[in-house]
Order: sequence, then C-alpha cells, then structure tokens
Amino acid sequence: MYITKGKITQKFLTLTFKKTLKFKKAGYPGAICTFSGIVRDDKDKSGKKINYIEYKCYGSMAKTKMKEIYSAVKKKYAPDYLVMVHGTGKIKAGETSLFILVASQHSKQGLNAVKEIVKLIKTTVPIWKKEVFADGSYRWVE
Amino acid sequence: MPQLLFFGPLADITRCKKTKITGVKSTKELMDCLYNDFPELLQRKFKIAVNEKLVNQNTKLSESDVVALLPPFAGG
Repeated sequence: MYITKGKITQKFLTLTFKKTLKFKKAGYPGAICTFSGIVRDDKDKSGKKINYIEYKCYGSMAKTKMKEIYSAVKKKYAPDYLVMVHGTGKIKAGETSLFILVASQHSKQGLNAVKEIVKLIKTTVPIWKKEVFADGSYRWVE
Repeated sequence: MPQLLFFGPLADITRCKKTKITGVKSTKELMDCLYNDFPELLQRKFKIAVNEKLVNQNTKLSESDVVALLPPFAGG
C-alpha cells in the first residue's frame, strides 16, 4: 500500500512494527528506521488556526511514482523490509500523514534510505496539501 | 479528444478538475488555449504530464491522451 485514504492509523503502525520485528529474511534487522510525518497544530502567518490539512493527489500517477521510489530504494539500499505510505483526504493535527519504515542490517543504510525517500516523495509524487481554517477558508501550500 | 486534468490551486482557477478539449493537437496549442481562457494560469508554476509522464517540450497529443497540469508538489 502506497497511498491510503485518510490518516495513517495507529493500528497500521502497530501491525507494521510487529511484522517488522518478526522479519527474519537475513537474520533480524540490525536497524529499524522510521519517519512519521505528523500534521502540526499550526497557525498561518496571519494567526488563523489551521483546522485540518486536506491532502489531494493524482491517484494513479502518485501510486506509480511511489512504486518507482520503492523499487529505486530497494535496489540502492537493499533493505530487509520497506514500508512507505502517504495518507490523503482530511488529516487533523497530531495525525500521521506519511509513514516510512526501513528495516536494514545497519543504521547508516536505513537512515540514508529514509532521508532519500522523504526527499523523493516531496519532490516527485503528485500530492498537494490544503490548509483549511476554522472559518472554512483555505490556502494551498506551495 | 484529449482529457484534461487540473489539480490543487489550478483547479480553483479553472473551476473544474476534469474536462475534454477539442481542436488542439499539441501541448503548446493546449496551453495557448488555456492561457487565453484563464490568464491567471500565466502567473502560476506548474508542470505538464501527458499520460502520467512529465513533458518539458511541446508534445503531440492524440485523442486518447490524458494531460494533467500539476502545480508544485507538497506531499509529506
């Protein structure tokens, strides 16, 4: 799963960690590196409180791009296990919009992979976010 | 006729997310048409994808092509 509707749930995160800890393809992974993108409880420049963020995507292209990133990272870093999911739709402050997990033999390999995935997702996957304020007005983040 | 998709702030400008367009044979002709109808697009940054592949140069369009106007990505 690369793109999911809504936030990334606690249940998904828990199951992913459990699955990763049981993964024994190359012995236990020596490192499990994760990144969670969390919606901040934020205000815009004028002080208006952001009610939630709405993520929109070009679904089919976003999935293709996520698959390309997955394959490229698998090839470059050869992780034991790799999970990358981006949420779409309304996501509130404190909820998870992006989750990446790389289980690898060594920390450097995992940390570098996570960093590269975040960068690639931000720059190559057609996803957009709209900050929606309490009064119903909104602003596209560019 | 090629299908045209707008995303994010660009869909706000055109007031539609999906349409079909007649009488254009290339991305340049398409953009000339759109700039004429929606001059505000001239102020915006975006990339063009044809059948989900980004194109940087003028590209010939066929009936079944899907053209998407993609504003700067903001995932994460």
